[in-house]
Amino acid sequence: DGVAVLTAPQNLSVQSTNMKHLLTWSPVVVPGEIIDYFVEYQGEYESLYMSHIWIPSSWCSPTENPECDITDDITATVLYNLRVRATLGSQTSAWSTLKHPFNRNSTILTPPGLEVSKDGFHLVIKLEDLGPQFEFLVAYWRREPGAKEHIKMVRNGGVPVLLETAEPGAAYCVKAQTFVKAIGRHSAFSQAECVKLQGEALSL
Amino acid sequence: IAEDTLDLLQHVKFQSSNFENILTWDSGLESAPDTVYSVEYKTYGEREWLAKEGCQQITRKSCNLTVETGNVTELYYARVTATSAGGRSATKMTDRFSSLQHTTIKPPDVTCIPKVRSIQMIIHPTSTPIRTGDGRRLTLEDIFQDLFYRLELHVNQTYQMYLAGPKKEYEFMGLTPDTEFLGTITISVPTWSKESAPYVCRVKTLPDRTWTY
Amino acid sequence: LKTLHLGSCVITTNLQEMRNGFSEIRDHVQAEDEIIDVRILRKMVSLQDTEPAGQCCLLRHVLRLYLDKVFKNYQTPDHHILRKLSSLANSFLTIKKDLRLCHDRMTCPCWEEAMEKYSRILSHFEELKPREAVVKALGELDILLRWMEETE
Repeated sequence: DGVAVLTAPQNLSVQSTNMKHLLTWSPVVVPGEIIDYFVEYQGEYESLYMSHIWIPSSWCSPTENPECDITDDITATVLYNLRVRATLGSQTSAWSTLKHPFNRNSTILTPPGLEVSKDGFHLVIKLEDLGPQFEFLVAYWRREPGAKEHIKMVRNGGVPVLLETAEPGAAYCVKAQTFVKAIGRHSAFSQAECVKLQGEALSL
Repeated sequence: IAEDTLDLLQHVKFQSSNFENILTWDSGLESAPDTVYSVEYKTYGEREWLAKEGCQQITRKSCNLTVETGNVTELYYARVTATSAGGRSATKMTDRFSSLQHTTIKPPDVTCIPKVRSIQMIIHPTSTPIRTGDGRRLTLEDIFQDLFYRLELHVNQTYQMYLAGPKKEYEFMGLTPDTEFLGTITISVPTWSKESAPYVCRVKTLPDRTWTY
Repeated sequence: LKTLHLGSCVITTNLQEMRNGFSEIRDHVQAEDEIIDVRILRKMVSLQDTEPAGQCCLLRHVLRLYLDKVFKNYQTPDHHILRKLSSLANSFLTIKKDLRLCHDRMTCPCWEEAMEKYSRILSHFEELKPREAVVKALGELDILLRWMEETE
């Protein structure tokens, strides 16, 4: 093991939004030199049953950036310990460990991006593509007093999908929220978006 | 003595589609055309290897083991012994085979029926070679509890109409008469992360003759 | 998410995520198991054919076997396999914690049938040398996942 002369990385923290988890730390600076960082993790199982075992992260063993996308490593809804160390040639710093273990169920879920359009009498929506773990609950209603709210589940984003065959001349409003099955949580609703369909309402 | 050499035999594996389980292999780099092959199979956890009738001393390089590996809850192995005219032989075994895990799903059989302002789609059940105790053939729907169909109708390349569910009949409504649409229907089995290639139908809605005198 | 009804103990778990993870390492781990005449998780001790009331107990004991004796004793230099096994082990830990809650609420009773089946599983495991038993048990994770899948 190299002699620990390098200062250990400081200020480890995890930013997690929409199930994307980013570990960051303050860079270790040695003028004129490139520092490599090694990131390792330990799930609750490892810390309980084999605490000496740490697993090299998928993408950052090593990395030159003072950050690491640990999304592919955090694959269960348990507490994860994370640690980082710096190396420069044969010089190696001590490990720095994240102060508070991270659980993916603490991720911030943002309201999904939503585009509403129309094609003739078809009300079409396109939701933000957030990845396979996300489903969408879409609520829509006719913009008139006492209108009933309809609910539809949409499985994947990124693709324009017909929401409803609407009535000529009617105005519709739509809002959506995400749902992540793996952690059993959903986001807040997005702002409602309204469109008016072409054609005159048929008077009977 | 059976030599395990690459030059007589390689790539011994199952190819499975809708539970039709075919064992295939390739001859070796220097195999002579008169090399013959014999197939055996066994259930994982049991002792005996069983010879597959009809696939002993054959020259072709495939063998249908659908019946012998027909219990979807069991796991199997198969092995091939290649014997050259000169008496040299080699034996190779498959990986552990589970038809539930390994079988791929073929596209569904669908009838697309165009009308004036809608297109109806009727999905026909997909039978498999697997039979119940009383001899009835099982369908994919019998085997996979969470099987469902995903139907998409592509509207002038800009957006899709989307229907999904386990039932067999669907209708896309509110369409423009006398217009061509592209429909794609796939079978999806989430539990096993299986999805078939799509069945594709290109249909044109009928002209609207209601206003002609 | 799959809801497992184990008698009056009901839990949800992500079987598909676990199955996807295992499918990435299955061929490698099963190829290490050269004793193909023997099976640890045999049909006659299967979870789904156990009295519903005893399923929670049987599953809890089998998971404990995997967590205590299997995952931690499997050595591999391959980081990809290590990560997939970590993911499976931590998912199993989550299930075991849920079953623990059922146990605390007295909805996870251990009766004779379940204990008798578990003792058979344990004896099949212990008849093998330690390394062989660990490799075989890991290779049979697809059987265990299907057992869980088929509990109704």
